[in-house]
Formats: sequence, C-alpha cells, structure tokens
Amino acid sequence: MTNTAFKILTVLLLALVTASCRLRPDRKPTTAGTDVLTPEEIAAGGVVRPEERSDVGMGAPLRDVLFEPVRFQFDSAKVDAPELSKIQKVADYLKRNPGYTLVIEGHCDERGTAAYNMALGERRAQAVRAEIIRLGIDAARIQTVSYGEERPASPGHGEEHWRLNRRAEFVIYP
Amino acid sequence: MRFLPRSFAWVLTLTVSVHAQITIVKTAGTTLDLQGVSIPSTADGVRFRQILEKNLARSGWITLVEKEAAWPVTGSFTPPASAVIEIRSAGYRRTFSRRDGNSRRLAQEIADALVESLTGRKGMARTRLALAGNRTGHWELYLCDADGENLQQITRDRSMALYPYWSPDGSRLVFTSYRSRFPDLYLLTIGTWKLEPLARFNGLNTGGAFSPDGQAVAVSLSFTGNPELYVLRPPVHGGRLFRLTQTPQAAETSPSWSPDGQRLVFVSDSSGSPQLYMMSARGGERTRIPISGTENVSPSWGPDGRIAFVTRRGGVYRIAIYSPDSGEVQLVTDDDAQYEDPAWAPNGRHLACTRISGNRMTVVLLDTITRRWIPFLDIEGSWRSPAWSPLLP
Repeated sequence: MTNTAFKILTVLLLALVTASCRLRPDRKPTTAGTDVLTPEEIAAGGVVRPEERSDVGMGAPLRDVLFEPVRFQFDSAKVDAPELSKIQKVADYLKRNPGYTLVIEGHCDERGTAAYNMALGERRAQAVRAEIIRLGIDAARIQTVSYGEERPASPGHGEEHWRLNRRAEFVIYP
Repeated sequence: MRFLPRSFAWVLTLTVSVHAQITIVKTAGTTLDLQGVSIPSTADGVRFRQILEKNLARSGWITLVEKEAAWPVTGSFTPPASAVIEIRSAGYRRTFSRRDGNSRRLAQEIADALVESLTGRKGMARTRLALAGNRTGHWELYLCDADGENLQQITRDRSMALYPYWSPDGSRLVFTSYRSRFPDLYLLTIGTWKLEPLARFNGLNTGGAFSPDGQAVAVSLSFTGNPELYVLRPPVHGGRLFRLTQTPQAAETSPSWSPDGQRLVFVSDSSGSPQLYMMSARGGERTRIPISGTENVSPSWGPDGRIAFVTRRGGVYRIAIYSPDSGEVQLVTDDDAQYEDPAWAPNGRHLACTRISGNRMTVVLLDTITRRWIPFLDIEGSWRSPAWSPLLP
C-alpha cells in the first residue's frame, strides 16, 4: 500500500512540475518570448530577419487596367463569398500576364481612429492577397499598401459613402 | 530655487452652492504680476512680453493678474536676449542671458524657471511639438514650440508623413511616411535633417515608439501577413528585430513604453474589438487592461505612470486616463468632438491630441486637471498626430 501511495504521489508531483513548466517557460533575457514563436525564431533566440521590401509597385502602374474593388463589412477584414469572383478575375489576369505584378490597396471608412484604420486597411489588403495566392499566384508578385481612412473613394458621410470606402483596390504594374 | 512646499502652492477654494452643499475645488497654481518688469516698447520687447506671458499662462500653474498678485515681479529685459527677474517678497533674483540672442528662447527659459520656482512643478516652455499638417496638400511633419509658435516644416515627402515620435534625448524623430509609395518607418535627425530608413519590410511599417533608454523602437509590422508588434534595435544598437506578438487573426498596433522601459501598452483587436493590453518589453503573456468602452485605443504612457488613451463612449471618441496602480479610469473630455492620438507633455499634466469637430481637424492642448482645451496653434489648416518632445537644452 505504502509503495502504491508513493507511486501515486510521484506521478502527481511529476504532473505538477510539468504543468508549472508549461505555465512558466524559462526564457533567457535575450529572448523575445511570445505566445507562439516559430521553431526558427526559437532557434534564433526570438530574432527575426525579414527581407527588405521588394520592388513590386515601385514603377508606374497600368492606368487602363481596372478591376472592381473588393467590398467589406464594417470593421471586418473578412472576404465575403460574393466578392471572390472579383478576386478570381485579377488572378486570371495575372496568370495571362506572368510578367506583371500587383499592389493591393486596403481602405477603410472614416469611422474608428485613423491609427486603428491603418491596421484594418492592411488586414483587408492582406486578406485579398491570401486569396490570390490561394488561386495560384506567386506571393512575390504581390505587395500590399494600407491607406487606412486617408483616401476615401467617396468623400461624404453616411453609409452610402462608407460602403464604397471600405474596399481593397487592385493596381497592376508591368 | 523653490519658495514653497508643494502642498502650499495649492489653493483651496470653497464654493457654497445655493443648496448649501459644500464642494472643495482644488485649484492649482498661483498668481503673478509682470507689470513691474521693465520691458522696452520696441518690437523686440513687445514680442518678448507676449512669449513670456503665453508660456506662463500655458503652464497651467500661473495666472497673470494686474493687482493683488501673490508674486509681484520686477526686473528688466534688455534686447537682444538678457533679463533680470526679481521677486523681492521671496528674495528671488536671477539673471538670464543667451549668447545666441534668441529672445523667444530666453522668454521660455524664464517661464519655466518661474513655474519651477513658484510651484515646484515641471515647466514645459522649453519643449517642442512634432505634428502633421496638410497645408501643402499632403500630410507633412512640422515642429512648433510648446506655445504653438515658431512653426517649421521638416518633411517634404509629398506623399503622407504621420505619427512622429521623439527619441528621449530630443535629437531624432521616428515616423511613418509613404514617400516610397509604401508606409515605411524613418528616422529623422533634428538639425542636420538626415533621413534614414528604419523599417521597410513588405506591408505596413508603422507605430514607431522609442524606448525610454533610446536604444530600441517598438514598431508594428505586417511582413508576416498581419500587423504584429516587434522591438527593433536600430543598426547602431545591433540591428536586431524581436517579435513580441503572433496573432494571425488580429492586429497589434500603437505601442507605448512604460517610463521604466520594462513594459509596453498596445492595441489589439484579438477580442473582436480594439482594446488595450500590456506586455513585458521582452515579450511573453499579454494582460488585457480591463476598461469598459467598445473601443480603447491610442495609448500614451505618461511620465508619472498614467496612461492616456482614447475610449469610445456612446459613439464619441473621448480622451481618458488609466492609472495602472488603482485601476481607475478618468474621462478628460466631455464634449461631442472626436479625439485621437493623445501625447503627454513631459510635465505629466498636459496632453496634445487631435480633435475632430465637424470637418475641422486640429491639434489641441488639453489640461488634464481643468479639462479645458485650447488650439495648440493659431495657424489655419488641418493638424493631427502630435508628439511631445522631452525638455530640450
């Protein structure tokens, strides 16, 4: 009996130690710990080394190639199903013109603070970018730019304007 | 030099209302009479007096009066830039002089010296404000003095330059500019106006905030496909980038450092609406700051440990202050205008913030004690995203 009790106690203690290890990961002072680091980042001690911005979108755009903007719900960066066909058209065009590149501009309506909308516009552009990549376009051909609420398509107030201003626009570069 | 213990400089005013309820209104500060200072009535002299009076009034601690002042001031101003300031009843006498002949700066030094001596509070006349203005048709960065004058345009990006933030020694600004068509972070050295790119990765590069030791900049970058927080050590400090957050479904933005540099407050919409969170500057678990309001954004961690931020209440974006020690939240604006981007003055009393009323967007000086605001600048045009410098030499 005593032996069994000892075994149970050991198992319990081990479980406790394991649990506390999970709750309080030992972080070295040089490590930028976070909820989820990628294995590569952990290996590098939390340091990330992204590449500098590519030169996509640095020249002059094709002004005569126009695509319909993708529309969004208020405060949302989710691409709604009815909008997918617009994105498909852009992906098809890029497939037909393999030398061309794309800049996706994310925009917001005027509601919310400007700083927050800068991030929301970026998330909209990135959501559309993810869809185009899913449709088979090389990620290296696509850049995003968020203008937040700074460049409304329709400069009035009220839902009829806001609806037009929550958008992602496509700009093609030869 | 200080004449009075801090508590003595607070005047308690008793107000008896018609319903015989007694309220005690804490009115800060003291009164000053400048009529005894001999100032020549030349253009130089008139200007000197204007600047001195404006800076004293803006301090919030001094009321200028023409009789029964607590402190009658005597002395003289001699152009171009020397002055003797005397308060006989306090045994105060000090000479001021500037070799560069800058009488505006001289007046600001005197204003700060009087505030500091008479009230024991920090002055702010020797600080500057960086802000964005669109007088040219593009948002460019400008500098002005704490009195709203001496305006100077400092970028000519002809695109959009926003969100400046001062280095703690006042020598540099970090800001976001679309000068390359894309939003990138730049460092600008004051005086030489040398411009260096700081972060230009794919996507959004914004939210630059210098750490209190000046060795790192907290930033919001989206090269992973989504805005996340990082701490960036500029090349001179090792050129490393540390990831702080990883939330593929949410954006982390607007970081601000605690005065001791150990923690960051930032905005995340991981809960479904933008809210304030705190995290160690070395990363780790985040803690949500429990504040009501459908949105809480734009935090600015002040020199005394309190956090100014924007809270959405009843559809209106108001300025509020959160005290981490007590958990208390205090609203400091109560009108129908929308406020954004609060930035603390180094005196811990005033905020500069963007105020939007109708189609008018301007930067205001907000006194967190009296809750009154005045336009920061007397210059027409739209102004926004202010950043307050430390005390400058």
